[in-house]
Amino acid sequence: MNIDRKKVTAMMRQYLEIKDKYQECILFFRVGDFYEMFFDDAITVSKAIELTLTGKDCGLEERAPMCGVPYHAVDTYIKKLVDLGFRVAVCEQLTDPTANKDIVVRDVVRVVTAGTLTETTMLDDSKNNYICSIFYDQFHEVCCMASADISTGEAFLNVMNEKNFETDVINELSRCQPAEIIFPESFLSFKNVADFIKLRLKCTVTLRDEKCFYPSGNRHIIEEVFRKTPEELGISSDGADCSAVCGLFEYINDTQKTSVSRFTTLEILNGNAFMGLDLNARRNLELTETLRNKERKGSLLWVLDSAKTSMGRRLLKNWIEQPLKSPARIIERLDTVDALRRKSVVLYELQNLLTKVYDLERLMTKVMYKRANPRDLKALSATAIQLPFIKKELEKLDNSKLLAKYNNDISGLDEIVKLVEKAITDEPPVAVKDGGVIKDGFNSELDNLRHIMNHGQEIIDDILQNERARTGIKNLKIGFNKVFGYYLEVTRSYYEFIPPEWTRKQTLANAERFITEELKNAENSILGAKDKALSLEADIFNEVRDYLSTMLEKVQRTATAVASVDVLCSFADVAIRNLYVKPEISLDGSIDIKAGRHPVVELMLEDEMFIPNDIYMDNKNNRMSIITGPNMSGKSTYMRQTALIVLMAQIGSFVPANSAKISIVDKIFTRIGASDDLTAGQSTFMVEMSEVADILKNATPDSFVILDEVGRGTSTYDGVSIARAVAEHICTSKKLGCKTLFATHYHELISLENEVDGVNNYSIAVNKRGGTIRFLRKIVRGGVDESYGVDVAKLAGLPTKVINRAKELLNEMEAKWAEEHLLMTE
Amino acid sequence: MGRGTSTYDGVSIARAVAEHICTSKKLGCKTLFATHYHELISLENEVDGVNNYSIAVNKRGGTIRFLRKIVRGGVDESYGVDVAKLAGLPTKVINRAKELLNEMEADKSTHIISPHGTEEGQIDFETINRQKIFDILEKTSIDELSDNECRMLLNDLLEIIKE
Repeated sequence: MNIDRKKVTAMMRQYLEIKDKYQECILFFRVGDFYEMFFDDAITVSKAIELTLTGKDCGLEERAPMCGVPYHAVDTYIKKLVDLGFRVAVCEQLTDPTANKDIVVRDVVRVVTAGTLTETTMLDDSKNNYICSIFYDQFHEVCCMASADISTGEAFLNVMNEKNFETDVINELSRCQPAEIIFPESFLSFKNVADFIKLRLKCTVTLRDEKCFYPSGNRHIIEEVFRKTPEELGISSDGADCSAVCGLFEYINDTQKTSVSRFTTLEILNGNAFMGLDLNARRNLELTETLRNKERKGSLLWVLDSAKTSMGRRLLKNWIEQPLKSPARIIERLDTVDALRRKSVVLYELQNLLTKVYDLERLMTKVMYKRANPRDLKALSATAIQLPFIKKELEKLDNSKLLAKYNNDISGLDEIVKLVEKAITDEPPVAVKDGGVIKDGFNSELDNLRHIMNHGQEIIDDILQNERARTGIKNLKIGFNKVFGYYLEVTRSYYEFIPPEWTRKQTLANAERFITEELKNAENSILGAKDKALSLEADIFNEVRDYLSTMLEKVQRTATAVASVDVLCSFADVAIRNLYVKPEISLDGSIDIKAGRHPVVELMLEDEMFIPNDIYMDNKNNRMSIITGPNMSGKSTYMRQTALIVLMAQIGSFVPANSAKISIVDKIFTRIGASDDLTAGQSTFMVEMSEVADILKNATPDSFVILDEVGRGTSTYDGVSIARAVAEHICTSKKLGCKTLFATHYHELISLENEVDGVNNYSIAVNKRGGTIRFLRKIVRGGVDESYGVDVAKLAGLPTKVINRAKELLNEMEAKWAEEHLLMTE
Repeated sequence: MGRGTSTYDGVSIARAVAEHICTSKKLGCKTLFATHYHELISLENEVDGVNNYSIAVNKRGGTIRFLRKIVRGGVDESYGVDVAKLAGLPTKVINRAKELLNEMEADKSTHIISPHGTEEGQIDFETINRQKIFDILEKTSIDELSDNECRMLLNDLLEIIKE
């Protein structure tokens, strides 16, 4: 549409001017009770979220395309657009429409993007919402990634490994699954990362000008946000680390239209703090969601989640995604879980108290961004009330250093309780503008105004009595309407009693209405009182809220500590309920699990008992276990449960087994299942080989590898050769030699036990009687010859004709082979 | 189809299913059957209505290019090791795989298609024959042979093969 700016209405011109500054956003333009969009935005939005497209007169010949949403429901619509990858600029009316004859002043007050949401209605309380900023310094060849969740106040920095930074970036993005990523356009040249983001992650990508990252113009932002210099935070003042952080917060400030000091700490991580888990490992082990339906139920997170607070739930997810590598830290957590488990009375009381704790982190965010409402403040207070009791319980577990540290970090926050309980009513409304927010007795001016409001009727009654007495008009009345306000009403029979100083306002058939100065003054007081009271309430509320924001550091530290206590309690609770044991952390390189169980499968079996299995692996004679056997027999479950038990130990949780001795694993790799990445143009076999290549490149002697049927998807000869070559390579290469579970159908690999050091054969015991087979699900030493493929096919329901023919062919092939062999030996 | 179990079981099932679909009066529906089992190629001659197809591949030197064109006839090779190399498997592993592959293709009847996983380095007639033929050819210099002698040599070689 050709828009002639000289012809459009004043409001439309204002719209267009603002839109000029926000070309890449959808502009939500506040008009009265609606947010409206025009022209291209309207067309785009109506298509994207199926809003009705209408039109508005704008001074041109054609009406401007328009769609609108009501202001009270705007969050739902913004969220839908943001989920689709749009950026929404919210433009508010800043002046009162009735006060001014000129056009209302309007401006954009915030830009909402996927990574910068603060509204709790748009957030999942069990997950963080991260935004990541990546910067690559070409001269020093260093890549850094700064990430933040502005809804919880977490901020951290990853310094990438110099040689392998693309893999590091991909792994960290896989871990935190950000809602939005920003980087300079030049970063797109790193094809591996760019492809990964495009194909495997679902997030909004925002390209920013390089200048937004340069420290020289943006360093001050760091100080505004953290109230510390870069050096005090632990980063350089002009390197890639500083650039990544600058770029991140420059963008965040740009969207919030204000520099908010929501963050108190910047956690600096290098690649070595946590166990390495790439996207495949995370997905295949179903750490936080299932493979098939991407649901929570059926994941390890679901099993371990007995957290009572939203903060705890988020932290639990983070702990699962970042297993530790330091024996000391792991043992510290395990000891704490043990202490909680032994004193279960304290454990349950703690969990009981924690149920009453609200989401301190997200509440505090609302306070800091000046968006908290009265109920939010009450929630903060209600939470703070529980803190002394929580501290008291924690003191009962004095043998745990970790709990003592958390206890220390938890402030009583009784200033919050005192202030909020004194200032805010017991059941305030959601919106401040409705009044009834501030308690009586907190502010004398407010009390006064309220007195006038409440006793307004008395004042009017007093005037009525006085005038009746003075004038002698016995049936004098005082009425009220919107046109005249309060008025004195006199009926015909008393007309001669009307005093001269009364001003006539209205004549009716049988009465006349008057006002007096006294009456009008009273009226102004009373009506004015209501407005003044509301305005004063709002001011007082803001002061209370702003005072709370000075307590950010204390609250943040308390929140983190409470969340940690919640997670450790969750571990202890689940350990008791599911009969887990405390794993022993060993440094001798061995993994020795007796009667291990799969933490998820054992809970989801309905009709049968879960059959536990032992496993023993070390760095010498038991490095690779080759597991042969039919499908459906439990090979996959066995391998996955081993990986999960190791992982659970390294996050500090107890494990499902009779006993477990675990040596720290630095990375877990999995090559499981059929990965049909057909949309990316790759065959199953190609994808599987790429995954194996990845593993061979990145595994170390301390890693743990699961390979499920390497070599499928190609001809038998090729497949066996590759499988064997890979197995030999893992066992014999000096750079590898890591513990590996290798499930296969290739019976040819059974001979490896005798040919390569460190390899042992295992299989799943099967009971075949008559025509039926039963999988005993027990791991035994030694490889198997049979694979029961035809038996399983029969169980699956293939028609008898087909099964019989298959058996016929099988016998033929076996006979032919035997014949040829017999011939040899003759 | 037929993956996820031992080779023999897999081939038997795949073939039995293919035959069933083609010959059952209740079925006989149009079917596209992609497989790695070259053993199924023989079905074209044995069952009505079955035809072999494959995707043309261009292999030059060490690299392969998939031409993505369907052509008539089955293929023997599956280029598994080539794809694995493309996927990035280390050279050491690729070379070892090729080594194993050659070993297996040379001793077809003692290795892969065995229901039992024992490796017995037995010598079969085929290998013995091949060796005989090699030996003979090695000692032969064609320039010294007359046309008749060439024909007799060929005859001898054919006899060995028929043995």
